[in-house]
Amino acid sequence: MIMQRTSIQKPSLNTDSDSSGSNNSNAGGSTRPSLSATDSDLVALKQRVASVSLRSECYVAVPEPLRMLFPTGGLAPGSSIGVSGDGGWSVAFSLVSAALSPDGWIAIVGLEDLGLLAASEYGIPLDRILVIETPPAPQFASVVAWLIEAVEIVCINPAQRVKGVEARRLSGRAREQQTLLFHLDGGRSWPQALDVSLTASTHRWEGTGQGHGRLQRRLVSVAATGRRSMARYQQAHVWLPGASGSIEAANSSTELDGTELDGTGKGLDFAMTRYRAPLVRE
Amino acid sequence: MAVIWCPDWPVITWGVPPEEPAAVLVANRVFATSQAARDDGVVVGQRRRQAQSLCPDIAMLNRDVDREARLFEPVVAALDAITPRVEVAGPGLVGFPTRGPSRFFGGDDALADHMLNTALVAVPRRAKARVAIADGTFAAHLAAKAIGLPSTYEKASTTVSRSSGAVTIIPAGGSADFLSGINIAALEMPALVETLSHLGLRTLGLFAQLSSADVVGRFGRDGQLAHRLAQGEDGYPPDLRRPALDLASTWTFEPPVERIERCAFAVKVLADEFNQALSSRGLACTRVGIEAETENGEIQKRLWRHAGTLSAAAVADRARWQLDGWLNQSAGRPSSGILRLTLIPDEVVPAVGRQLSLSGHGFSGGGLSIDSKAKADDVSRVVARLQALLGSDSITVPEFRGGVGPGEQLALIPAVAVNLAEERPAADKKWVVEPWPGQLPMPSPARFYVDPVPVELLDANGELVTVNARGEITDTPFELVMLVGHRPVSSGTKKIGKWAGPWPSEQRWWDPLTSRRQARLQVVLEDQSAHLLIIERGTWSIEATYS
Repeated sequence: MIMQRTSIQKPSLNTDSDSSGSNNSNAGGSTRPSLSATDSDLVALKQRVASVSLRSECYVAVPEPLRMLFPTGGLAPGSSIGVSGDGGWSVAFSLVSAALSPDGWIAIVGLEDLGLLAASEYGIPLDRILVIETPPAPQFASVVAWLIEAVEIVCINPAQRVKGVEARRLSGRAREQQTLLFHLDGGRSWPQALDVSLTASTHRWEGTGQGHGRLQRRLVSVAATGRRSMARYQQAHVWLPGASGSIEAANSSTELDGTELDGTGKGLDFAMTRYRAPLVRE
Repeated sequence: MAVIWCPDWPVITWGVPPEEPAAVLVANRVFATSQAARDDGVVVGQRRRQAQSLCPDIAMLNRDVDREARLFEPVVAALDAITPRVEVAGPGLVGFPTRGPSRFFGGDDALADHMLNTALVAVPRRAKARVAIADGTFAAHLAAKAIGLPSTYEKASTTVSRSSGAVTIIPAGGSADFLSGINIAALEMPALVETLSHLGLRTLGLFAQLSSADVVGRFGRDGQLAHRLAQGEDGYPPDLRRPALDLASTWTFEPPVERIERCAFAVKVLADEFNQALSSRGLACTRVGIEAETENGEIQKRLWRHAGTLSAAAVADRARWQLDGWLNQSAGRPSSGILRLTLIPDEVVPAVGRQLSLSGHGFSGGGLSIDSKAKADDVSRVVARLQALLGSDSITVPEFRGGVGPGEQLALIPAVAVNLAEERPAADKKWVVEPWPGQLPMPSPARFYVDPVPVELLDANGELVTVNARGEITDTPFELVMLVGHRPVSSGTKKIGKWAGPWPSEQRWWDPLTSRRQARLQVVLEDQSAHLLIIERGTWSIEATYS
């Protein structure tokens, strides 16, 4: 996972030590060498403190166009993310692709209908994906628990409602291991509130006409809510995919013109209810 | 190197006289036989049924390694009187370097006689012992086993300086010559042996004549090892550096234990720790010293040798055998419980290949960094566990295949079939280089239905829309109607906003049985959801959704 320290510093701590250090050296000068020793001690101490970063200062990278949804600048390590709505899975793909470190692995559990080809188009490396069949309901929690230990990102779509105690245990484990848990059903079968809930809705597809062209790009609005720092409702408009095939920011003034932004984009809910293994198994 | 080999040891430990037919089985195959059974045609490797049909009154015994090791302990203890550097290769086979002892006893001949006498006193009443002295361990083992089998090793007699009764001595420098006539199967590496015999290299001598570089180039590490053995050298070049003592691992029992069952767990933990300490320094152990100390200060130390490198489980087994043998000996058993157990790496080699339960052959290849390898190892371990939980076909990895439809371009293959710690070019999009006519352009749909949802496509007049033989759509589609059991669903009718296509494809047109004609259509419905429709045999269905 790509951890980055935000530029947010703790101003009180830094300015305090700075000012006191300079004051001491100015006032004491050469007459009190012991203090200058303290000075260098303080500098050393400051350096040591600087390398310690709080958990809240670490975050997992998110795609640039979606960054405004996250007040801390990214996803907290080990958080649970739910995606739903028409375009939700594409949102998940772009988030996974940005969050994955150069040698991290992804596990996909019980998502036989996931389009891995689309995932690879969003930049997810297919050589580091494990695809696990829907496990029998009693074993679901233990399978996910094993995966949390070994991979960076686990995508789930539980077939049945997960028990409260199991969900709590899995979330705790994921936080401990700093594994991101993506709920591709929007957390419907999860008894707990998710850290981040993203709801996508498609406004329009571009590229097709009446019998000509091809699907090229899609304007999607992504709404984010959640717990703690994510509690405030935020919305972003993105091209998903954009003309380049991956996520792009939408220029709100021109591109959104004429789009009714309260579109529901429910999609074919009927079709979603019945799907099974999509790929050729050898 | 001098070795003592007790033939048919697994059978003898069961107390079976040689004139009674008996076989020891491992995994339902014959592992060892008595002389009488051999006379009836029972050979090692046969199935249980086959052996029984050849020899109806044969006694079928299960292998009990612990028992074999325990009964062999007196032999090892007796040899301790000759030299302190006794190396146990396994139950029934023990050896030591001859240089010092040979000079002390006045030559190889005298030493061999002395060894034989010592061993015969210690073995159970009916057991036999054979002694062989040769340059390398491999040659000595083969020489001991070759006694009494002149037909198999025709050339052997010409190089042996003495071959009488139970003793074979191959003079210094004669090992390669002795080995040259021996069948290649003696290497006990089935895959390699098969390839070599297909190449016409049926004896060790022919194989040894190949240049070392060629062998390494063609057969890799295993080949190199076999080649060294065939030349009469030891499989691993001896490393004269003595490993630092701090690699030894010690376990202190509190209170001291007198029963083997009580140390089993400690032995396992200790062996794991020992192996970990070695592997973290990039070493693997080929010979381990196991030292047990009792409360009263009695010390028993044994060296255990292995043809390959010793895994943690193998070390644990050997420690258990040794303690078992010592604690259950009739004479010379310790006067008090065992207080301390120490594992000492006596001979180490650079570790090559990762010891992983998944990949049997640890070829380190590919361009993955160490960090990625470590992560891939973690993943492989979890995969192994999940396979045990869910079945081996439940965990899959995607690979690219050529194909027209978005669902046909990838295939899921079981994770057992691939090495996750190596680069897999087939999981890279560049794997498929040839263009596929009729392939749908990017972006691909995020969600697939392999049980496609049946629909009807209607034009503005309510007529069915299809794709004709030229791959053209017959009319402008206007409405999409969901079907359940060939009947429209009331709420399942959606107006079509925009559409593109069709993309016709004809697969395997040369084969009337498997040929398929399909056409795909991208539609954007009024609610702006986009879907991929497919028509085959005049029936439309939703193949995928651009979610």
